[in-house]
Amino acid sequence: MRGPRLKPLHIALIFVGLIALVMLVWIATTYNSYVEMEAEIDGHWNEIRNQEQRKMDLIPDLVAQSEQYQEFEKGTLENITRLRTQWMESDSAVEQTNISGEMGALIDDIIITYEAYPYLQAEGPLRAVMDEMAGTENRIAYRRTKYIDAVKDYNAGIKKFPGKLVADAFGFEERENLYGSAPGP
Amino acid sequence: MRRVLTAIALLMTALLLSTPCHPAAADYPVLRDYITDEEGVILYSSWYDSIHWVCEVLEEETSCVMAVLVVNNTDGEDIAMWSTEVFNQNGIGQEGKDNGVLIVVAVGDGTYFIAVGLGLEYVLNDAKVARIAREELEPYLAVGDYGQGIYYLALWLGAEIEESYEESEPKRYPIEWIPLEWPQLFMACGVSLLVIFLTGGRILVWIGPWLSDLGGGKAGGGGAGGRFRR
Repeated sequence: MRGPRLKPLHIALIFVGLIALVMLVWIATTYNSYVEMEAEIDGHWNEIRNQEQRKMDLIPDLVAQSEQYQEFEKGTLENITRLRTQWMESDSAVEQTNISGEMGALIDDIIITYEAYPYLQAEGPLRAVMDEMAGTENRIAYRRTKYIDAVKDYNAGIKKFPGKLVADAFGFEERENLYGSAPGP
Repeated sequence: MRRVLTAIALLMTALLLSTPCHPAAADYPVLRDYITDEEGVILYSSWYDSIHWVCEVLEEETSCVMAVLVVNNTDGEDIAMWSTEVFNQNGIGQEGKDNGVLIVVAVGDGTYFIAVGLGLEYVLNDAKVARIAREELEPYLAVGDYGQGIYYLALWLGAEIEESYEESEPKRYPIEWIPLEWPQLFMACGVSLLVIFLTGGRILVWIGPWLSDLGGGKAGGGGAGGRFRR
């Protein structure tokens, strides 16, 4: 026994409905992906900022402990203090990031000196602050790598077809790389 | 009608494949147990069971997960970055609590790193981890006694965690071990069934690698490391 046959119009309507459903699911999925990617970029950026703040908080202790040893160049310590002051006074996140990078090179000099003299590594406040500083620099480096990758993936995603259609329709814009010349988020 | 469904299935697959996502991750080791020893330096030593026991007891008593990974090298990558990536890709510790610790020793490189999950950083701060590693791990690594060094390190880290770790209340979901609310759960079930139907069940082949039993914790680059061979 055969059931009633579908009319061509019904088949066409079902077809159009299914296509519309598929399109809707794809648009929603793509939109959500871009939102998540933006959130990921912001998350890494915020963590970089947190860790930079932590680094600045550690600087006075690092300088105070290092000043007690003549192995550390006085000029380097003064420059670190000067850069910290600049960082604290700056309102621009990008400028602060650049200052932090400049300071990172000076901190590397201090760590190299510290590692070159084993007796400096004896248990004490200098070693504790050095360990904390090394950990903070690790966190910044890790987040920076993730941030750069996330920006790259996001920018590639919104430029590629057919994702570009959704990006344009919902106003997703290219994000500038924090470590490029343009400002961050 | 069958052709129409096939066409829609193809269209859906093509569109889903074009959905933006992260590129495939680099090839990092997959950890399936507390200890992964690619170099065989602790696997056949008497310390293997002791280290395993420390990790097991720690998880039973605190829900924190400690894992050990011994490799030859980190493919030229900085060991801190590499270890953190291994930690995150394997999701060590419980999701939402991020209470994992990963001890990595690169025998060929002569380096080590202890990656601490975000939820344990207040217990194991960098200075503390560095101090414990210098006192308990480095002397043994320097003479090639990997098992003993890792055992003492795991023991001390475990003791610190047991003493200070306070378990945070995880977020409650309708089904505790699935982190989804009811609407998301229904939607996920519907989509999963549809995808399984459309692919004739072949999609199930791809979910195997996701089945890791070390949890879903995250690390943010914190911890401490060092060099045991100059």
